[in-house]
Formats: sequence, structure tokens, C-alpha cells
Amino acid sequence: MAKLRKIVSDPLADNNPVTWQVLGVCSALAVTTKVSTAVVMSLALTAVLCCSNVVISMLRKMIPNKIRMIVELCVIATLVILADQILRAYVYETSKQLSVFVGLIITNCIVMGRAEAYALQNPPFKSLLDGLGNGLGYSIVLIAVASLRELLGSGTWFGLTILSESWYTGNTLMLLPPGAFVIIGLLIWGQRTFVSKTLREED
Amino acid sequence: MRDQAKIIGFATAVCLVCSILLALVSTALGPRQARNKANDVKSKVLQVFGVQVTDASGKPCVSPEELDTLFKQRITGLVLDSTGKHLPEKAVADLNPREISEPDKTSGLKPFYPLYIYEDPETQTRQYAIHVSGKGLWSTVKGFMALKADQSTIAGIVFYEHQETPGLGGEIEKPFFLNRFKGKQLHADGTLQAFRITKPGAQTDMHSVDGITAATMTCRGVENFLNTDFAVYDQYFKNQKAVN
Repeated sequence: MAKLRKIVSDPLADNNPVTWQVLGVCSALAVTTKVSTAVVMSLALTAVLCCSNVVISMLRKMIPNKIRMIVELCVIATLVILADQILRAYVYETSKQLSVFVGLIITNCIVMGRAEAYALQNPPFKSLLDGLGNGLGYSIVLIAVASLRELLGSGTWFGLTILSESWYTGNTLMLLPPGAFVIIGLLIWGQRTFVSKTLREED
Repeated sequence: MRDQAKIIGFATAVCLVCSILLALVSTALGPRQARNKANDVKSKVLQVFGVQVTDASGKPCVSPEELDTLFKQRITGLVLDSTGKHLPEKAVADLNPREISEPDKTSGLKPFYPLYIYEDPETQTRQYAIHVSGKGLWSTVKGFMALKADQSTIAGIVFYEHQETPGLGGEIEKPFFLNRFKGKQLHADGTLQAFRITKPGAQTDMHSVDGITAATMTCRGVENFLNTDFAVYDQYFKNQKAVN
């Protein structure tokens, strides 16, 4: 049981896919100007990651090794198109804001990385947990970055005005991709210096 | 040999399953997606006429069915070609977004120009909404502009799609900028005037609005396509007047 819990909790902080493995940074820069888009993106990625891990784990003994990666890609691409279609049908406004980035979940290294590194060797249930953990780890970073950017850039959080425009002028740098780059850089530095000290010493 | 057959067999199976799944989902969700798209345009048109269809945060506050009825009751759509001629065989609902917003590289004109006519249920006065679009700095900017019954006074404008820099060119979608257009005139003494978006702080007249600081390139793009689009619609209005 503790072991299973660790599969989910590990990628949240100590082995976070974004800040520790530095995967999926592209979308973390692109969709984090607003918290609401970041949340939808997180949900979409977590769903795709869980499903792809489970499907690939179930097929793991049948997939011929030579075409392993192309099969993974095929499964992931199908799931991403599904997610995109569903978003377009049910949350049209948000899907317009996410535009190409939902499609780009395909290229998100976390999905492919987890399929290769975990789902191919482990049974479906454990793979599901691994997908969930990594998806949540990505979500935490995405929402943290989006919160900072929306707050400092537009003075709002989830569309609610926090810093009144009468005395706070939005920092445009935060709304541009370089702003996210700086924040993610600081997060990575902060985690490696203060939080994961023990891990680093083990290395 | 056996191995290869197995690989090909497996690949075919995976492809088949995936494509059948996608085809099913696409057919099942297709109508819903098409309705979302159509409603999006309808709500934009109603908005530019000043009908309240979204709340302060931009979320729709009327149901899709209500939106449909509102639109049907109050609005008629016409399709014009690039010379301002009415094409009776075309309906606005059949136009795809590319046809009305991607200009031809050499002429700068678009294949079709939708025109929406709004009739106020109480006062019976008419308003017109024209579709305006063209290059900003990074992207194609798309919007609707409403004209009053005189076909010259600007009643309102919205930009519903663009990928300009947030905080700089992206400010063109904000009310503070859009409100500057209200009440401006396209014509002086019956002739179409060049519409200007001036440098911030410069003197403005009836045919110009104040631009946005640090968004010169976007404003220049908007100014250009507004004038190109005005010319097409103006041709239609002129022809109409000649007929009457």
C-alpha cells in the first residue's frame, strides 16, 4: 500500500516531471497566462496520461519491440484527438484559448516518457497510478506558474480581481513567455536548493 | 518472416481500432461542435449590436436556444462579394471562417463579406454589422463593427479573435480602446473618408481614434484592414441607395 502511494506521491515533488525531469516545459510556458486555461490543460493532460499508460500497459506483452514507439505514438495521438474533440464539444470557449496546445499534448515528453519508462514494464493498475501522479505533478507546477503570472501580470486570479487596477499596473513581462521561463527557472532552483537537498546529496 | 507478419498484423489492428474510435467520436460530437461554432459567431454579432449575451467575465448568460431565437427574430444576414454585390444564393451560415477573413495576397480582398442587418424590436430602427479582418502584427485580427442606420456612424466594434502580444497589441480587444470608435463617422458629405488610428495623444477628429501606446504595428494593421473593408461595404450601401 505504501509502495502504491509512493507511485502517486513521488512525482508530485521529489521527482516532479516539470521541475525535476524538466519535461513538458513547452506547454508550461504557453498556457499559463491564466489559471483557468492552466486547469483545463492540466485535466486534459492528466486524463490523456492515465489512459495512455493503462492502454500501453495492457498491450505491453503484445507490442512487437520493433514498432514499440510508433504504437505508443498512435495510442497517444488517438487519445489526444479524443480529448480535443470532447473539449470542443463541451467547453468551447476554453478550447479556443488552448487552441493548438491540446493537440500538442502529443509532443509533451511526459506522456511518451511515462509510456516508455513505466507503462511498458508495469501492470495496468500501477501504470494508472503512475500516470495520475505525473499528471498531478505537472498540474501543480502549471497551476502555480499560472497563479503567479495571472496575479502579477493582470492582477487577477481565476478571473477575480485581486490587485485593483487603481494602484497596480500589470507587469506585461509576466504575460509573455519569458515571464514563465523566469518563474519556472526560479521554481527549479528553489526546489533543488531547499526542498530536495537530501536527494541531491544521495546523488 | 513470421515476425514480420506479426508486426504488420499488429500495426494494422492498432490503426483500425484507433481510426474506428476516432470516426465514431467525430460523428457523435460533430453536430454539437458545429452548433458551438455557429453560436459563437451569433453571440459576437449580437454583442456588437449591444445585446447583452455574456456576463462581465465573458461567459454566456443566455442559453444556446435563446441565442438562436434572438438571432432569428432580430437579424438578417447577407453575403456580399468583394465588389460589394449581394449574392442571394449564399447564406451567412454556410460561410467558413477562412472565406471571410483570409485576404487574397495580391488584391488584399476576401472572397466573401457577410453583412448582418439588425432590427430593433421596439424602435424598428436598423443597424448594420460588417465583418472586419486582416493582418495585425503577428496574426489575423477578426472583428465585427456595427454601423447605425445612416450607414456611416460607428455604433460599436468588437475584435473576437487575434494572437497579438498580450498587454501590448492584445489591448485592442479591451473596452477602453473599442469605446473610442463609438460615434465616429466613416463619411464626410457622403464620401468615404480614410479612417485613422493616430499616435497616442495626437489630436483626433470625427474620422480617427487614439491609438495604443506600444502597439503601433498592431494599430497600423487594424487601420489598414478597416479601410479596405469599409470600401467594400460602402460600395454595397451606395448601390443600395442608387436603387432606392
